[in-house]
Amino acid sequence: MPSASPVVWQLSPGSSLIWKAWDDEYVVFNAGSGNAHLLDALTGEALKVLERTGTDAAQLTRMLAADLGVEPSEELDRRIDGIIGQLYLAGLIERVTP
Amino acid sequence: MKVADVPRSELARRLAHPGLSLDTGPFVVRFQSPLPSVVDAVWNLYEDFPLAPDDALVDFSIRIARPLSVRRWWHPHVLFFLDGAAKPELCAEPLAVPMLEWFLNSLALTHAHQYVMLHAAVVERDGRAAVLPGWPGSGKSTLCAALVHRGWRLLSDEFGLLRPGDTRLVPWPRPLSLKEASIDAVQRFTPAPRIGPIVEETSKGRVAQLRPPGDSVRRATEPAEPAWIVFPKYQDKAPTTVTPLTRSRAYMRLADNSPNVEHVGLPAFEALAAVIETTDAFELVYSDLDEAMQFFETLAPLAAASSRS
Repeated sequence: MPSASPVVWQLSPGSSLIWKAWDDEYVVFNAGSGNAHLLDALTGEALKVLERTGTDAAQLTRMLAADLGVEPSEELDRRIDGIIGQLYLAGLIERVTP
Repeated sequence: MKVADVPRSELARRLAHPGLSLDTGPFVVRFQSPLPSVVDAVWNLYEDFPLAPDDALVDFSIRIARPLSVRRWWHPHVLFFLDGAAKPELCAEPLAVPMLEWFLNSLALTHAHQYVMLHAAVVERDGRAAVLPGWPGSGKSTLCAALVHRGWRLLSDEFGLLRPGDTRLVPWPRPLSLKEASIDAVQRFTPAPRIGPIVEETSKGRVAQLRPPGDSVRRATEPAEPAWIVFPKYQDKAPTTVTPLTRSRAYMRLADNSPNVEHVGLPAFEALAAVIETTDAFELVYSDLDEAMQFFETLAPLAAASSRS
């Protein structure tokens, strides 16, 4: 039985992000929705990746691990899963329909 | 010419017809009413405001009239016609004066989107402003009333107004709205407050308006650069505590206190972000008004030192 393709995530259509970095947090304003979002450093970096390109959770973890200079880990996987859920519920990202 | 320069009988005649236009700073406001309570309110609470010419462009107009029905005498009510609307708002006559201020707030909230609005009191000393954002119950109006009687200039007790692209706060120094314990607090710490009639049993309890200081009204065209954002939180019997806020968290709380940030969109985000980047932000929990005042006294010397450097 072929394995399911991983879910690919991308920035929600119509989103246009304006970033402010203060201390170790981000406030990002989405001109598409008129809403502002407070993000911690890792969540902000994840969204910046998805703003550039759609990708799946595993690839996102590898990219962020490389940026952070750490090895991918189960803990990082769990954090990234949580971040994807948070960004999805905030309306910032969506699943890519194949 | 200001309201105080007009004999009261003439004021009453002009208010009844054709109405009176006042220059309140950022807005020309026109009042029209034959009600004695409204005449008294304008006479007492707006005495330092300049009259605008009768042919001035009016930003907001409020006409208060008595109905022709039995409501004129039985459980008397009055009709509020806002900005010439055909359908009036109805309210009990004893509430006419507080509702006048409430409807003026409402008109600004729905129409004045050339400004980024903050639900905040704003006061200024030595050229630097403290912004006190907070929704009803936060204690900001009580703090504001105390501060303007301790040497701070009133910009507004209700609205912080920002022009996009300009971090300076625009004054709108109208009568301060007090309720319940704040009425008693003002009467305690200032010897002769000019408080309008106390209206009992409103949905907010006892309410009254406090005349704004004359100096604040005379300086209604002087904006002020913000230096501090202080989120007040009145909590009965709580010790006074001051907690610095990070800029990101201060932005989110400031935006939560802006009724039109989403309506204005990106210019509002940039305006609030610019304010955040030039201010220090705190949360102030208090129950003792004098102790809260001491915190603001620690801010003002810092402003005096930096303005000299």
